[in-house]
Amino acid sequence: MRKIETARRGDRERRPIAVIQFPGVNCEFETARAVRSAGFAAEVVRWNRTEGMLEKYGGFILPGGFSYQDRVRGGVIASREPVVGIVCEAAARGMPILGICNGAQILVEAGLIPGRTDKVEAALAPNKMPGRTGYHCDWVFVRVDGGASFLSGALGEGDVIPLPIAHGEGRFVSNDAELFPALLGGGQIPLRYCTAEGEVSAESPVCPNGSLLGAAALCNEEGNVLAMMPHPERAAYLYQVPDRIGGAWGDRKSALLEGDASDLFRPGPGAVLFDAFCCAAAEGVS
Amino acid sequence: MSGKLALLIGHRVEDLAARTAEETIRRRLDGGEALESLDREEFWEFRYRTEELFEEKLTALIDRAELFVNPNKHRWRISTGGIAAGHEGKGYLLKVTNREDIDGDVAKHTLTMQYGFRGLEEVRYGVLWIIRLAEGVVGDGPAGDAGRALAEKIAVTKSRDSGLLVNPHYQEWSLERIG
Repeated sequence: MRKIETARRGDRERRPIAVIQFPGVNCEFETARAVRSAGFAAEVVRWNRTEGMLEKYGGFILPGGFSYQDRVRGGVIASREPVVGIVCEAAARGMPILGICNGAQILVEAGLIPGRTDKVEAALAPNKMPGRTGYHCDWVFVRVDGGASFLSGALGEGDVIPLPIAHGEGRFVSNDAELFPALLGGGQIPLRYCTAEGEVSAESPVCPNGSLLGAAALCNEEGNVLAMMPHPERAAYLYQVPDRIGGAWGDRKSALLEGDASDLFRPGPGAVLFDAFCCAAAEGVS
Repeated sequence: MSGKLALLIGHRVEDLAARTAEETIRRRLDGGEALESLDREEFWEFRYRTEELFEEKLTALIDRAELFVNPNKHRWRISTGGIAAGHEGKGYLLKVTNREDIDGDVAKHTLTMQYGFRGLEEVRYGVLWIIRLAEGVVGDGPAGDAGRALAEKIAVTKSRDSGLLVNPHYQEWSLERIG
């Protein structure tokens, strides 16, 4: 939290954040709103912008949705677009990049995540759930479990936050059996599915998709690129949190329902992730 | 009686997934300019051991229940000679299945529990891509090897500019030449 306060004081030049709108995404405007709530300017930018038109931005967010209608595989068509090449170059310069849900699929299919080589090293496979298949939508808990990403500027090891998920292909996998243990050891699995009490599990129903090691997010080695399946923009305000989820956030929501309705627009559990992203953007890259 | 058959499903109208993949390969991937056309069929493979007339029962189910096929947008055929049978011209068939075939497992459960299919041993779901390369790329001898290598390069994802149709981290594939 300390780094965020520094960033919010605006002691560095603040460049706006670009939320890239591919054909078929549907979370770009609430994502931009969540960035603005973190104190930064955000612009929704169409995917066919050229490199020169993107120079002014201090960070890129690839939002959730269904780019190109999930044709072939979720995110794979968008990952081949020239704008993702620009994102790759920005990532190499250290610029913060956040992919949410479909945006995470794009980053994985582009080879930016986990980014140990210039190859595609992993996939977001169809959900694996006992007795059912397809799209799954629910609230889950995730635990901060690695210090490599920009999230460590805002969240502490072991912090547990509730977030919504909504995906059909959200299972982080790789055919390299050594990859995920190595990522865990290197702090590159910064969010893992867990119980409300913080116990990590890769099994349903705690883990909603069968992800290896219960991974909810992966980051690159440098920590400036993060791909996450949960939707923090859908938990950026307290009113978005269902009181049924229990825990501290559920209790907070229930208490507010009895009080001043304006308090419902206070930051929700997802807001801190945008704070962390904006903090990283404020630290600046070339 | 044991047997195996495949249900192949194509589109009556333009297959937008195939068109998008075709354009992406041509415009974005190394070697993509050699792609002449790309088409796609979904398939279900059934392996069974039963005294029932499996093919007749499956055909009746497709006609009446529309479980696998929407007749308003799909055309379909049953093949007892494997999924490669019935494809004309020169090119390559890329068969893609998920390593953990959840759709196949669910279909097997549904057919067994809800539609009374007995002796159904396995159901597999996948996508068959029909890759046709430009004239001269596919030929016999060394040209054939080069064509196969190019089809594989187009198909199997290795990096952002190489391969599109398969992600080997969760999918299996095979490539078969036709014509």
